[in-house]
Amino acid sequence: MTKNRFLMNLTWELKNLFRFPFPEILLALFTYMIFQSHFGLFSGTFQSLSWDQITYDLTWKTTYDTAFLTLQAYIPMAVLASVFATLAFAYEIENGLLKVHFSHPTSRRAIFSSKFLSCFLIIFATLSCSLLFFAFMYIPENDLYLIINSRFTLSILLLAALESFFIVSLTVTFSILSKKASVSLVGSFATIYIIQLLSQTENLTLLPPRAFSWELEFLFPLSYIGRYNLSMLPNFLIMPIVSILLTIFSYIYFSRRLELS
Amino acid sequence: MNKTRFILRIGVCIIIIGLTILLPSITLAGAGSQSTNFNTSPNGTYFELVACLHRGPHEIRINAPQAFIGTISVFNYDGIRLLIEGTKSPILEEYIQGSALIDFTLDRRGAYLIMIQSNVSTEIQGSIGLVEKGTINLDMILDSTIIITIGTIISILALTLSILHSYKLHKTTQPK
Repeated sequence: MTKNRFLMNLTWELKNLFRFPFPEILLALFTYMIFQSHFGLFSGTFQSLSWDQITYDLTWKTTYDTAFLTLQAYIPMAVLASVFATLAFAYEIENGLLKVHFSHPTSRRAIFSSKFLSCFLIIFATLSCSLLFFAFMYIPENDLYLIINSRFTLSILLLAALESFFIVSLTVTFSILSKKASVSLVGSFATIYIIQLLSQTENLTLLPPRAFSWELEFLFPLSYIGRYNLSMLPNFLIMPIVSILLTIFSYIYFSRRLELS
Repeated sequence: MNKTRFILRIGVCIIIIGLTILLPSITLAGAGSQSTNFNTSPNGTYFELVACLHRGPHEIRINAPQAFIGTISVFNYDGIRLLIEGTKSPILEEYIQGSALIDFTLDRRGAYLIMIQSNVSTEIQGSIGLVEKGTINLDMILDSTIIITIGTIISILALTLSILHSYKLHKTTQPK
């Protein structure tokens, strides 16, 4: 029964956020941000390698460059995540729609999870779509090896998921705490933007989006090393841990402390 | 959401992706340049570089001491495979002395291997730059046109299905 309720809520939330033209706008923005970048160079001793190693290197280069571009889409992602989190939480709290949700025989956990998941899914699905298009158009002749070396392709998706998860967890926390659509919208975007400015101007590598470079370096170890560098694992875990903590905090606040007037 | 509307949304999304790939291909034409330093050891040694390049005219700018004598070769994807197998078939091979500017045109987008072979007995340090000349990225425009066409076909298919479905529904609900 609870599971069915969760699925019903999720379907409703997905229909709400995936309605025309939200995903289309996201796709257009992400694709434009990603495709305006230029291709890079890389040197090595290719003649001494086998054909398999060369195609592996080209796959690594394709996926590394593609994954790097997730950082290009950070600001549009922040703007739209603020809008979606506001629509899903603060707007419904302000308008009293959440009271209607609570009056149904559904747990707060199911409501929170369905709203959070729908915000995450719309951003992750559109970003992944743009990234995969870019990866497969980068070196068209090497596309087959992109499928064969699927570990790298999946790593792009994992990085996109981690970035979307962080942004959604932050914007949702803001949205629930503020309870007002305007405060949530402006506040969450301003916070993300200030963090981004601090990260870039003050060279603070532990703040996003620069913090995602650690994840990039961990997920795409240099091709001649070929395996994950475990010494980078603590740096890799910073952003997922922060995101999980924010999600847990917002979940506890939503399910136990949130009072609707 | 019914099936035809879902297919129509997919078609529209594909058209949007195609259009947004087309836009930077037109507006950012010829803005690409990349450079790196190179170092060649004495006699017969190579410096190898892989670049992902667009279709169209390009220029290689080599900045090296006057004493440098060597050969520069450019291999396409198939050429790289043949090179590994032992057959050297570059799309461009030129003898260079000191700094040089080399123009060449690529007929497709992809990975290209640029190889500089040193023919002097000393170690040489220099820099190499790759410039995409000011033309529209034809290959990206072609690819985006294909994507837009696929999206349009899917959308038209969905609209046709929708019209057929509503016609069928209209026919069955009509009193005889």
